[in-house]
Amino acid sequence: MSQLPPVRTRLALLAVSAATIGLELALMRDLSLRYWSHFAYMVISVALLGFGASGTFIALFRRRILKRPGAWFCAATMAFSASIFPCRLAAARVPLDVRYLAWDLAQIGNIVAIELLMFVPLFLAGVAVGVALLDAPRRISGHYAANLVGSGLGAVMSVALMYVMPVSGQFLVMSAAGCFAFAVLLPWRRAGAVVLGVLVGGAVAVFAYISPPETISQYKMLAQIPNWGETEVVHQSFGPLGRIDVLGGRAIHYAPGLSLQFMREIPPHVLLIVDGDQTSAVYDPAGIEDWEFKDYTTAAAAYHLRKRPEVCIIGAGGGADIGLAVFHGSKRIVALEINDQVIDAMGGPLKLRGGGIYTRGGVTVLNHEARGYFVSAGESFDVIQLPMIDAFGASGAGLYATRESYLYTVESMAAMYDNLAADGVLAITRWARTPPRDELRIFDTAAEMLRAEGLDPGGRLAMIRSWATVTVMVFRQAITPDEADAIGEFCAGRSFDLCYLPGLSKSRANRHHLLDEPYYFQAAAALLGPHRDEFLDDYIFAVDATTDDRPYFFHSFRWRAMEEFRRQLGGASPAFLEIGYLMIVAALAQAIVLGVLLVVLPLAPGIGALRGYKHRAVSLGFFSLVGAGFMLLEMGFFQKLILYLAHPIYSAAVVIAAFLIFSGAGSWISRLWPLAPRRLAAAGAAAVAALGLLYMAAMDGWLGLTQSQAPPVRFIVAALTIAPLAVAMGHVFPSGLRHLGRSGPKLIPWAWAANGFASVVATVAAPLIAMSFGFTVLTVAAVACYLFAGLLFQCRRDDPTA
Amino acid sequence: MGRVSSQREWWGGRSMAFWLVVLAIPTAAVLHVMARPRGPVVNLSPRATSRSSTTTAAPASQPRKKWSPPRFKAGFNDRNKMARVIMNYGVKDLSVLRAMVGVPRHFFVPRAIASRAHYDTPLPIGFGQTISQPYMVAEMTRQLALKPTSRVLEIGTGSGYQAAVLTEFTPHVYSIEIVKPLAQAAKARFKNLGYHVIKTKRGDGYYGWPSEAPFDAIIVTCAAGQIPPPLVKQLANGGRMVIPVGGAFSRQSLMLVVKDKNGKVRSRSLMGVRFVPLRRKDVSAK
Repeated sequence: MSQLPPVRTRLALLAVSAATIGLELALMRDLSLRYWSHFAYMVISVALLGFGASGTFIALFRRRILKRPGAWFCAATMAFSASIFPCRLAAARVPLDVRYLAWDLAQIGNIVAIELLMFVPLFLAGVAVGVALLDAPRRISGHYAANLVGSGLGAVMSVALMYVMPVSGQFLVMSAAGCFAFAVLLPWRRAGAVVLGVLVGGAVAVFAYISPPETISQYKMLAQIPNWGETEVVHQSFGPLGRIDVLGGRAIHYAPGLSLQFMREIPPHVLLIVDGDQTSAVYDPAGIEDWEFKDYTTAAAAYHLRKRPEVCIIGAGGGADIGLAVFHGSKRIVALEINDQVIDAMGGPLKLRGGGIYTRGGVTVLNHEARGYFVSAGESFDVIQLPMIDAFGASGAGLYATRESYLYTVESMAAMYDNLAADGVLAITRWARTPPRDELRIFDTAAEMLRAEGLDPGGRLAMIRSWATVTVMVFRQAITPDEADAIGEFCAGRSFDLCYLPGLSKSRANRHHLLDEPYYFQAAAALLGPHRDEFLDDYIFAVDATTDDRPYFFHSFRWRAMEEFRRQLGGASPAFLEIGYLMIVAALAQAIVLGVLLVVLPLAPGIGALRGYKHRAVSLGFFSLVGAGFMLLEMGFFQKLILYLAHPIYSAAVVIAAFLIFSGAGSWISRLWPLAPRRLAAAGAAAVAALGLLYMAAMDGWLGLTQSQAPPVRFIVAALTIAPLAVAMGHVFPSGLRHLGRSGPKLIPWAWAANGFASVVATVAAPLIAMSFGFTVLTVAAVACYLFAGLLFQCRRDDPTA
Repeated sequence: MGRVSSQREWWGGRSMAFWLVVLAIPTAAVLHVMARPRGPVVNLSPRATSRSSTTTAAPASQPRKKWSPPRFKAGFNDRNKMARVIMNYGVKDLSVLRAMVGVPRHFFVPRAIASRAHYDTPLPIGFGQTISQPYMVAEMTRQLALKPTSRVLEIGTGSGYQAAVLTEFTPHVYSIEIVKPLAQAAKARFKNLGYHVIKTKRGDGYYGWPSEAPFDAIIVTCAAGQIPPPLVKQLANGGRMVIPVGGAFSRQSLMLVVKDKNGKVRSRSLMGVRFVPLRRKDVSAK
């Protein structure tokens, strides 16, 4: 890189690195808004694929690049910047129909098309960074630092940008950062270069202008409402936790789960929609009595058991559940709302359209995440309500299958239970599904929590259902006969069915919304009886209790059930496939194919040159294991820290930035040790394995100490928690490469390719492992990868000083 | 002479034609039977559609109106195959199967996917709406237990396919669609295909069609976790309302709402799947 001064190179590198991480996070938000959140893994996987393929590209064209590295660096940044908008524009036109995936596997072709379009700018960014790192060895550490600082800045800047501009604006910023990089690198004295630069800049501006704002799947509520006519957008805002749209109109009628017995008018309302699909209504009743309709939902049962209760509502949303509590004359109402934009909207533009419920006397709305709140609250509530927050259709389609949910776990319920008054009731409501899934899982999770507390769940649980919803109630004290009667009376008046109550007879269990059999009653009896394990093993869906170790509440699909569905339903069986899960499986298959095609195969012509090396299998095994282990750990942290940081986008930003920065620091430190690279690589791998086990044992407790702190504090704690592990991880790969540089330099491109390929595959395999076996197994798998990698290098019989 | 000769020829030719016809009828019948796809021996020809209902009486019924649904040759074999697939799901009601054979499904889906119209899948029709899987259409129709005099209200016309199937049972079909382009397209399609008895309206299905109420049957093809109270009110005593539960492409069950003769409302979940333990053991009975 002798053609450019180091300052300009580093400035450009910083901008490109920041733009690359920002682009990754913007893509996650964009695809989450357009479709659903399961594209996050795909984006990370594609980013790694881009970097892996760029490594292969550089290995193949190394000689040419080294002739004019400055031109290559400048051209790569220019192409990166220019490619962002055209690729986004093309991706928006790919007719991907995610919901149709289970029925039409040809949709996989559309997913591949979107992946390849995402791949292009990320590959070009990888080429730019890779070319810059080909500079003279004495400058590498400075370049590397610029790359890492840029990456960290990109993550922080990206989250900050989400507060001030929509996703389309963020793409413009990333593209502008790329333009800045090539403007820094461009030889402005040459007229041709200037013309080219201006043309590229102009092209970016034109594409940014014609590029559409966020596109939204036609199946999302937000895309459908404008088609109803006479609807208006009342309010719109955006932030890292999602885009908020408030829509009003005469055709909007929203009272989910309402009893068939309710025949009166529902108060006027508008819809508050998060990320296009997560819907709640903001009702504007004329008086308290107009909230009566909410009393005709199963969630109201707890209020018929406690007079003027003190209530905590998890997920205030549009305030409907606050209205229910108000209707029952609750003495004190604390409502938790994680999204500050919702609170701002309710207190601002919606204040006179029903948002006033947030500021009503006796109501306190806190901008807090539930788990963190209950750790530190030290309060006692008569009723804790956990209402439904996910969309009706999306849940049924399994769109949330891959989403971690730390609200519906044994540990979460224990935290809520601890905050109940001596005679308090925890009420959790879910959509009723046929055959039952989520509802039974909630019941089993509650039962497991009570068992863990040393209590008999049989006397403290109740379950009721309407045609649309199921409410599970967990009592602090054993249910009294009077309470059982009150629940029965409540249900009879609203045509709701009793599913489980202590002493409930089968004949009372299936009277109003009839099922072929009293399935809920039977399942509840089985889950509380001595044959629970057999029932769970035999049941057509996975409905066993979810824990923080495996918080996939929405994932209940079992492959072995597919045969039964196919036998009974033939072509109708795809209705039971979980789209989210299917997407991850498809992504894994694609990651393998694209990884081979783009990372490994381009090197194939040079394979003959490797014949002289005796340790090629060991070396490639080492780099594959390190690549897989690294990404398994990183993805494990990403999934695990969602609980601590309260949202996937925060987790992604902190984890990506912290792993890049600290592993980069580790890589730099690795040069300082007075050890042979092979020994250092093996020692580093052993250290990662040991630290991995330590984290597995102690991280939950450690993070729990600061769970209730403000988000910035938690971001710093999370990053610092990652630091020691990432520093150790940063030692392994570069030490291995240095060793290879001495013992078999021609293996280096292959080492990059093996590492890149394993990283790409592990990124998508990580959620599948976590969903099937839990985070403990995921961590053990990552630790095993490092352990084996260390052993492979340690046991090599070659020059010990190498 | 020439005239006699030609007369003879004419008679001879006529005689031959007569015998040809006499022989052709049983031959064609035998060939037809042999050529039929395997499966239960049923006559699925729409001309043989029975107008009789399988279950309850319809109290809000209209006087019988003379109506013959239009017939289409195009895609007949595909529809026949489709009906056999539906039959394999356990839908044995011949009148429903014949209705499914009678309506040209390929005219009700976007042209780009018309070749897949008779596949055993739901299909996208735009605006976030779908045309249901043929089996679901058949099962929903069966659950309505229609008679020729039944008055049916459909909420969510979509492409109009379900409404067309309903006209195979009754000419008193009312359909409401809120999405303007879909409503317009369906109206034009009904006119072009000859389903002129279907009364359509572009509007908010939440309020039903009060001026035409009560209805013996209501079919809600676009439920979203809520059953509008006005629809329950507009259901006649003894009437039936069917609602698919689950989102587009994932309809896993149906809900049947029945209003008895005293006006009392009950509901039932009609699961698409029998609820058996995977290892064929009834653990819950232990």
